[in-house]
Amino acid sequence: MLLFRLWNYIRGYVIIVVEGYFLEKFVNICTRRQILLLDIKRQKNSKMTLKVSIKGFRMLKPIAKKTGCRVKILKKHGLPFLINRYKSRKTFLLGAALFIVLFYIMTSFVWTIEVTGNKKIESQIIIERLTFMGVRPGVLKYRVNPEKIADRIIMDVDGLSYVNVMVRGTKIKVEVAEGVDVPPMVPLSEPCDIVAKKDGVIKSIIVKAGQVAVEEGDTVKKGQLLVSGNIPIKNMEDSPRKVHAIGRVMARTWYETTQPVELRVVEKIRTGQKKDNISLVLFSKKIDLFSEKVDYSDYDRVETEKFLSIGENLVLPFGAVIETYYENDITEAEVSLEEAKENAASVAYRKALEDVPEGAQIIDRRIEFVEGENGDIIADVIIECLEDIGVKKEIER
Amino acid sequence: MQKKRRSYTKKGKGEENKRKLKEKVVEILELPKEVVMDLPKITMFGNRNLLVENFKGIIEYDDNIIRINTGRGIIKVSGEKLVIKEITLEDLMIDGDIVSLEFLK
Repeated sequence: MLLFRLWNYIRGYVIIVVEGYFLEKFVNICTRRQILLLDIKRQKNSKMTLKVSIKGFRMLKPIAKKTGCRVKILKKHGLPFLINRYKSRKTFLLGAALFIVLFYIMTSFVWTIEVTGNKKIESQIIIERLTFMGVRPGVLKYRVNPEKIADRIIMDVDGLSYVNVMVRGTKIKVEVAEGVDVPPMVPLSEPCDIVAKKDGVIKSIIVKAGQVAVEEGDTVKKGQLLVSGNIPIKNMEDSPRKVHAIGRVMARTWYETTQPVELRVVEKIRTGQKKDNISLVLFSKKIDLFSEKVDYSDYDRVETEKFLSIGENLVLPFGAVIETYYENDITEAEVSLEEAKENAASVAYRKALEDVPEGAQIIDRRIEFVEGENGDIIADVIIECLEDIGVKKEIER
Repeated sequence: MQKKRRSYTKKGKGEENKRKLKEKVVEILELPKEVVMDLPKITMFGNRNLLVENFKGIIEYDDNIIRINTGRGIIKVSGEKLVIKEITLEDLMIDGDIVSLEFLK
């Protein structure tokens, strides 16, 4: 029934009032002349309302004359009337048409490129490759051949195992997957030693090839020989067998940092004053709109970029960059000793952590507060780690 | 006069016979009756909706009574708030609270 009503709306219909004494005759003649009448409602005072199509309405006049009825339009419904109303408004129609044409043109360009799936390889490298191939914002999207581009990217950029290029709306989506790095070849034919790369106390040694030079519990210095690649042979002390030493030397290492405890803390507090500098971005060109000089003595700058987009994929080349400057008020405040100590300890700990290499296992941490010469307190943080300190060093033949 | 009247009755009788014969043929061949015999086909959905197919025209239309002319007599529909939902050359749809349906000769 909905379809029927929609059809009626598209065709258009009028609700009319028919007044007269021979309404039945009027209806009968209408049906005989193939005029479809809908929703005939009988009113009092020899009146009735009914719906009739526009085409049917034009045929009613002679019938009304014949039966002596008067026909009056009560309401007009449907698309034809709507169109008729806008027919005289040429500018409006022109605007609507222009909008559709512009919209089509705007959406047939590529405006953004999105790279997903990459962890080690930077998106910029892939985007640069795309630019080199002529795929960049502003290019016609029908010129872009996704399969060809995907093939070329996988050939040109090292370390990719899968590339998929999709054109979605005004966005080019590049999905990549990085391949697993091939483990480096161990050059067994080149003899080498294993030496310590930093100071530490040996916890355990596992040797696969070579002669152990230190014992568990030994304290070693940086550069000290740990596993030797020279294996002495009995009775031939002068010419030992030379091997490529392989082994894991786990040692305890310490990282220490200090941080003075400060009772006076400089605090940055946003005063609530802020300024927005708005610039428009049109086709990757920046136009400053409201640009004021920022005369705050200290401020934080936050930049947000917004692009007009329809849905997620249909990004349009219009956007705005809002630079917000928040004024900061710098005040010095006294803090309690406990709090100051805590702050210093956490800062020191964070500093120490930066030195800890990847793969090292933290087994202990200690915080001490030492009083300095001038009576100030210094936080001393020591992190104890367990790590492989062995590093290969070639033997000269 | 008498002669004329007799001829009338004779004609009526002939037509009656013709009709009965037609009815039989239709029944044997299982043809749709409303087409061959020009009978109205009436479909009702409860007492809310009435569809009359193969009618001639409406004689009277009111809120409470609708009289429909068909090839075989008049159908009188009475009820309340009767509305002709749709009317075309073939069918007529009536909405409303239908109370009774009568066949008048």
